[in-house]
Amino acid sequence: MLDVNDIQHINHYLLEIARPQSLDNLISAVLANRLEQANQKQQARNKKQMSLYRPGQTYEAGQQLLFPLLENATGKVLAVRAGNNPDIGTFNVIQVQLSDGSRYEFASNLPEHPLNQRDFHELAENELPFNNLPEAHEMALPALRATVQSQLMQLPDFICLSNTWFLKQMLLEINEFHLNLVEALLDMANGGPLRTTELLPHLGLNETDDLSLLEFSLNYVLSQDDRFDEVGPKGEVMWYLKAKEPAAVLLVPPRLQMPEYTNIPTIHLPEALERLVKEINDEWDDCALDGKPTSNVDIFIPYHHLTSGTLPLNARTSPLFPSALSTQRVRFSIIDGNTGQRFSGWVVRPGRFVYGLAPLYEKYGALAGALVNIAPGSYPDEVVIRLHRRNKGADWIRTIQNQENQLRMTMLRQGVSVKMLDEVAVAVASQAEADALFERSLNRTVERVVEQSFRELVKLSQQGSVHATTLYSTVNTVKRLTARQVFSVLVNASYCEPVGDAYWRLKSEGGD
Amino acid sequence: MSVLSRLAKPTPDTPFHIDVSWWDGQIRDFHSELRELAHKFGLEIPESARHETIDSIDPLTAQVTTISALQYLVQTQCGNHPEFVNGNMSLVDAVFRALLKNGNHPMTPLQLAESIGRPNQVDTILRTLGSRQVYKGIRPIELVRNSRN
Repeated sequence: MLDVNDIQHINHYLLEIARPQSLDNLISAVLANRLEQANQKQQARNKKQMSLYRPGQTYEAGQQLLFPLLENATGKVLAVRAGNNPDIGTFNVIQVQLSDGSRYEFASNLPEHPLNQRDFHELAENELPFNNLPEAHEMALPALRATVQSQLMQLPDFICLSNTWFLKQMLLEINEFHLNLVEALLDMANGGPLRTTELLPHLGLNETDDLSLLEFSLNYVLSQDDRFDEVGPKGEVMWYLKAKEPAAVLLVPPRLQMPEYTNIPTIHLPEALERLVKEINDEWDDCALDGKPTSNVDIFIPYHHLTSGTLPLNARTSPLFPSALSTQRVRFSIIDGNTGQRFSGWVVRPGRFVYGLAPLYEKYGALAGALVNIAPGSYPDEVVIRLHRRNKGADWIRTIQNQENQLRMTMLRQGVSVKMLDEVAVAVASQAEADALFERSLNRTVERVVEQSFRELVKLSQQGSVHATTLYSTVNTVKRLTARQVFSVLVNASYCEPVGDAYWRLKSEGGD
Repeated sequence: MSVLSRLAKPTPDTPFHIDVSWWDGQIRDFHSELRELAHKFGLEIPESARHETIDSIDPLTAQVTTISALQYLVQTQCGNHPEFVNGNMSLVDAVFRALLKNGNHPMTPLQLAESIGRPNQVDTILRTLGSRQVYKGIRPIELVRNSRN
């Protein structure tokens, strides 16, 4: 926890160095200062052989005292007088001048007071759990990062960009004229992205100023202006013109919007369904990652992402996409793993999706359920995405139709040229029919949509059973629900029953 | 605003006390306030109580605060009354009385919230006492910072 002295020290440190500093550098400066102060105090204590103040003891004018409870303040007894309190009896009052010049009074000759028994040894020992700066770094730095960051965030004089801190008052002047120039530059670059160093030479700023300070000042001013968006991956600051960003990046596509369902009960799912929730890993189910992130993952494309030209940003996929410390949207390059062709992509953290896949899906004629491999590219802002190609053929696929605003399903032959996950594979008779069903289901209850999907799927199965994953995939063609939500509704439904291995069937009419 | 002045912004751990000197500039003085309290709780105040002083000792730091005998009587005689601090009074009155009951030894918003029986109102207390407006002389005190952790 930083105290007043620490903050003041950071202030002086930044004023002196006159250049933005990393959080670790600031903490390091604080630790060094604390060590120095502790050493000075220790030396002073040793020199003066000070006594610890205890209310039970007798003191005389001129004595030096140490007050461990007052942040180890030291003081000199100026005078002693008789205390007056009818409930306490005889005691003295000492007037003390602390080292900062302030004067206070404390009790003495007072046998009954908790301070007489308090063990200050422990307090003094715990004051600084390290003796030198390398030791301080090792012991205190990791623990201090979050605390110091949140404390500095609350102080309006300090500003932070990409984990670098500086004093607001020391920023170089960037005015509206410079901002308009940046807007024009980005506009000419079709929105961007452009690095700050690419923008600076065109702004006519004083070239004698420190470059890192110029960069920081421009970045700060741009971050405060709603026209500009910082879209660089971690460690890189890159600017984009918001007006040129794809609409889906700024506004979550309708199919991906996650409504707040208040009537879905929170229930304990059977083990088989719980396992499926983790396997499906719906981005809004907040599934934790099992084990360490892998160097590449295979996932299936659910219909709501296929139709939005997106991929889910879940526990398995997010480590593979560029991240950022504070930016909400990161622009990156999608590399087609089959051909090496490049597309522009966006990581949209608040919406938990990756945008920019539509050209790839269209190119390979992907259907919902298509398998896709995601792997990092050669650079931090590249991701290789590969749809698994297969010989083109016509497969029987569950196909959704709109019959008088009701969901109907049938098996139709669909042209398929990429590998699919059978349980999830689903097609729509036409986009218009799917959109009409989606609009219609906005006013339908979750239970009704799940039941209708379930009953339609049962008709397509020779065994009369439906796999829970197929139900999740089908429901999401008409209404956005997470796997856990679909399964919770399923478990609570009275018309169906489990038959093992995450398969469910309709209950017979006679009941059990 | 300087860094230091901003740092003085109180937190839930900042100790507050009644700054008796604040009352000097008010229409109503501190002792009138105390006399009214004493009257409410049926306490007879001897004339000498106004001029006599008592050394009040902080139970944690042993710091001595010299208070008037009137304040001491209100603290010790009225402070123990079950209705001295109750849920029907305004927040400021409750805090004022809680501090009096505690011998005007500094208390943090966390301690005050507990003391007035409104543990969920730490933020409200902080916002009220931490604003520019000073109510009944209740102000932050710096000396005992960190001593009560």
